[in-house]
Amino acid sequence: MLLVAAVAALEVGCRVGLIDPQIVVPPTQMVRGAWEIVGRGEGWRTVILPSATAILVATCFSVLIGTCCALALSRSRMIRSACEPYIVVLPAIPVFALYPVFIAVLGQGVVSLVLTGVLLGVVPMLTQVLAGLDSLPAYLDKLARVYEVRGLSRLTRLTLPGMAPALLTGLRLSSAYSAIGVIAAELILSPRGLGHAIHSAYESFDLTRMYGAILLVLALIGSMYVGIAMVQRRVLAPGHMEVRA
Amino acid sequence: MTQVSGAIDRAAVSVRAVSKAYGGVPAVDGISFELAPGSFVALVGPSGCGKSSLLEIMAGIRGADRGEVVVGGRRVDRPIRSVGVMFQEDTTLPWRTVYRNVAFPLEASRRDRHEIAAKVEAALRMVDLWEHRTMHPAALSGGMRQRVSLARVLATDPSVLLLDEPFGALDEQLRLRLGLEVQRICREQGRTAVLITHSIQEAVLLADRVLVLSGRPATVVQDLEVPLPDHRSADQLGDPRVAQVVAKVWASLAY
Ligand SMILES: Nc1ncnc2c1ncn2[C@@H]1O[C@H](COP(=O)(O)OP(=O)(O)OP(=O)(O)O)[C@@H](O)[C@H]1O
Ligand SMILES: [Mg+2]
Repeated sequence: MLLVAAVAALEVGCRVGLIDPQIVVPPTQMVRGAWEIVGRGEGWRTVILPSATAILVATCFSVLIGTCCALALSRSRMIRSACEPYIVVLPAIPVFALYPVFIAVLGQGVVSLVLTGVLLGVVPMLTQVLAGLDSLPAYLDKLARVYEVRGLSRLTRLTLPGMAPALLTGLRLSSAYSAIGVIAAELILSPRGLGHAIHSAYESFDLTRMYGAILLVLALIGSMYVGIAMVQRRVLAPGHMEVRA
Repeated sequence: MTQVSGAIDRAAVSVRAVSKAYGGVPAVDGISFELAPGSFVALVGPSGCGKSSLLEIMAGIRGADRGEVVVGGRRVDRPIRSVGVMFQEDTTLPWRTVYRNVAFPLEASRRDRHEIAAKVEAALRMVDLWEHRTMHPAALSGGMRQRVSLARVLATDPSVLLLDEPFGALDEQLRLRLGLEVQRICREQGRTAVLITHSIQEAVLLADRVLVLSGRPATVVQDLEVPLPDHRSADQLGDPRVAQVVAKVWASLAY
């Protein structure tokens, strides 16, 4: 509701000249800019698909690496307490600043993009899984001992389902952070993708296309977030409450 | 699990001079007793005296410092299939339905699918939860959830049930009703049961034998027979024989 009002206000503001059209274009024009990108096959191939693929791959790696690291960390109290301070400051590192370094080392390809996405995406996954492990009830351990559920079986039957809410929240945050990482990296230097579209449109003062691309970024991240939240609501058993970090 | 050498064991469970200390402070001190097959025995004792520790040693999920527990002729040094344990707290898995909660231990020991289906259905019917099999624990009352836990134990078909204050968190009415239900199931199916409870009346009403433990470290201070018929009901609460045993338990707890 608030969003609709804000968009309407923006539209009116632009149309009557309250807002300088050199800075912000009216929302309807943004939508047109977005449509010009997605409406053509070429736009899909050079703008949406490269970004979406990089984000997907980065999210997968983030989730996998984050989960595995958290599980490994939780196995040793000593290692964990040694690493904890670093995990806390991890989100504050400006990963994009490292992007030029990646390019120098790995080239201007998709690997650098994905790496940036993973570096950003892995942190929320890690912290969520650690929090999820901490909040596992003690009786799971008793059940595991009584029924001799060990190793992989214990992981898949007790540990992972027990922290499913945390895993899904981690996935949701992780995908959003990975997307930010990938697009920001594209913005700095990439021949393809949404970030590049924003950057090149900006360079050529094509505000319609620039805002269109930004709109697409928001739509992409928003739909991923909402999509995962919906999955979360569907797959979690009633009463299996969300673990809040 | 190692085969115990020597003569055939007639007792279903033998606890032999079991001791356990935590950080040098003893919690269980040389406890010994034998349980006849099919008997229903209650353990009562002051809070913190070491009842749960003893039970976990009997279940094979905690090691004893000294002594041994023998079940069905086998020395218990890890959990064994013929012993089922039920804990005081709610241990249902919130992400599994009632049915799949009961199936859990059978799945974990990789039993055959048809065997699982048959055992789960039988167990759920025993505790009268078959109609609720598709529900999740969150939608059940506390008493129903404990019945799910009971069904989960029964589904593994144990000859010995170890019950650690299984209905302790429930109100008195419900606790007694469920207790009578467990007693009936055990009697009908010839299972041996050990019930830890802090309600002396409940102990006397359900058990055919009450072991009274001392304060920490736990030792057996009194071993009382309950002279009631096998069939138990709440009506017997007013029975003078019950009152007599209850008084004896109180007297020995005064130690
Ligand atoms: N893992 C442990 N480490 C150290 N001390 C323990 C541990 N487990 C139990 N204890 C101690 O051993 C004693 C006996 O504990 P236990 O849980 O067996 O008592 P309990 O008789 O079951 O008590 P309650 O009736 O309150 O359930 C307690 O004083 C407790 O503090
Ligand atoms: Mg206890």
